[in-house]
Amino acid sequence: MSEALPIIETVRQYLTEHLCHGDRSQLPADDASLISSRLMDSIITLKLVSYLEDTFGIAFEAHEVTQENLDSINKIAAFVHRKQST
Amino acid sequence: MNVGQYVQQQLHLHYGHTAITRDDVDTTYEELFQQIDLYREGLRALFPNGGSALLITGKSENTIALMIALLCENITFVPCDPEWPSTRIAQINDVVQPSLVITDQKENSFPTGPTSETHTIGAHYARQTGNNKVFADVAWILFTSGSTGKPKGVPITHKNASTFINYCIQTFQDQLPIRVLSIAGFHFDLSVFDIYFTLLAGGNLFLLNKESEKNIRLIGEFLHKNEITHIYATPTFYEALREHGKLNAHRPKALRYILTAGEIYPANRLCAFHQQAPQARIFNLYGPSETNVCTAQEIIPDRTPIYKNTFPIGSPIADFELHITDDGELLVNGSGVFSGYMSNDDLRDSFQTINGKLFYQTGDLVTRHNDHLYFIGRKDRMIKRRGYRIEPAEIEQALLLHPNISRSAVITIDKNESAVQIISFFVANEPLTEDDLRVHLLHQVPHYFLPDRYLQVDHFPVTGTGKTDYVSLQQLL
Repeated sequence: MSEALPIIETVRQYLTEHLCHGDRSQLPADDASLISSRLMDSIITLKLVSYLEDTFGIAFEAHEVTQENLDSINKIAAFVHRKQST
Repeated sequence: MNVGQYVQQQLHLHYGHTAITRDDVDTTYEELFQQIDLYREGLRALFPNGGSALLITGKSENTIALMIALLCENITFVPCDPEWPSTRIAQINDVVQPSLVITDQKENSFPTGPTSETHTIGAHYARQTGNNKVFADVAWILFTSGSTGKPKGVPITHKNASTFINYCIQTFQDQLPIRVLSIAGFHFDLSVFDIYFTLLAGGNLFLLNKESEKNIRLIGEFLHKNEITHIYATPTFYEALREHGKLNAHRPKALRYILTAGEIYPANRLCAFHQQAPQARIFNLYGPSETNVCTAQEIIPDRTPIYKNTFPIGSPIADFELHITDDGELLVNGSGVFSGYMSNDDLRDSFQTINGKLFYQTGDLVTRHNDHLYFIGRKDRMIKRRGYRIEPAEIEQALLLHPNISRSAVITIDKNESAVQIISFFVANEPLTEDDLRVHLLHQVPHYFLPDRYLQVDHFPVTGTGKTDYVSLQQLL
């Protein structure tokens, strides 16, 4: 991969921008829940998925857009990493 | 006419067909009839005095059978979303004082009310409360956001409900197959179409499981795979589907009817969505919960006239009559109109008599342009987000329940027509994070009430009369 930033930092930056109005101090911890805490609703989640697909050149199957794969910054980064290595 | 008894009687016309499909499991019309009968017997045996029931259930074929059985037995039901916070369900319980609480959640998770013995009835659990209030002729009571800061109940009679259901049958029943995907929750009046239209038309109703209903990509695929013909949802849903549903890969080729209601659908976006299913007819349905759908407009892109990027709300359906006041408010009379809220404090100013007829004051402002009616806004502060009515006062009240907050105000910004932003301001005796506030609010109000922003200020600007100065707050942004 040619990305200058590690996956997890790209995810943090995206969420800072789109979830926290650019305020990094409001960004949840890497292992904090995003979906079950209602921080991300289904539309923000889908926008994030489209962003990850475009940025990392991966494709989510419909059944992979789940809370299990997307519920925290850590989970998102791990999932992207898995997709990249398959 | 009792809606439940009518629907149950008609089921035999469609024996041999599938009525409901959930998770690839089919319920036939015969099976549904038998399930309704079992629920009716259970209700009669356990609760011979009838009355009313708070229904805290998910979407399933069993819940549909139960709802029809309750209607048949003249037990008024109040559909509650199991995801609502328990404090909200408790508020509703206080207003309704139902004789029964019924849930399909865990056996002993009664979020509110009675500690009496739990009875199993079909796939549900029920408890008696000791109350015995009867709501004559009321089929169900829908709760919506209230300007007093508490949810308010809209009782819908069998006659009110039949008005809309008959209109649907006359307008949207064409040839078989009729395959309807249910999107709205059963506490939302869009589901009245899904359930009663589909079953009376001999169609197949598709229910999604919890995981799929939040996954627009799966829904895009589902529409294509299951050859869905009718869908009734909010513009928010269709826009999510257009943007994230991958419809290019899964064309909804079987779709014949796209029905939309609940909020304004910007004309350019509706046309863009229609390009994904150009064979489908589009209907814009208009009406608050208090009247259900009272006007309708078929929308033909390139032909239906557009005013300020919106399509008309259309002309009255059934026996509805409209009246527009000098200041542009739409008033509605007709057999679909409810006859007053549950609690008296909301009754004021709801109705107006014109020529001896009672008209409901919708609070919606409309304008006539080239002989067409267009919705242009609200008289009060109420907003619509994702099709849900939200009274900013409810969020303000909920914020004030936080032990550190002394003042609260909520304003809304309508930036690009489709996404209303909710901005909350508060004064507190210590710094509070967005996370604190979100967690607090989720205990009080449904998640779709959550503000987009939380701004802590030292003090509130006030008007000359000492009230919160909303205009100055807006300027703080």
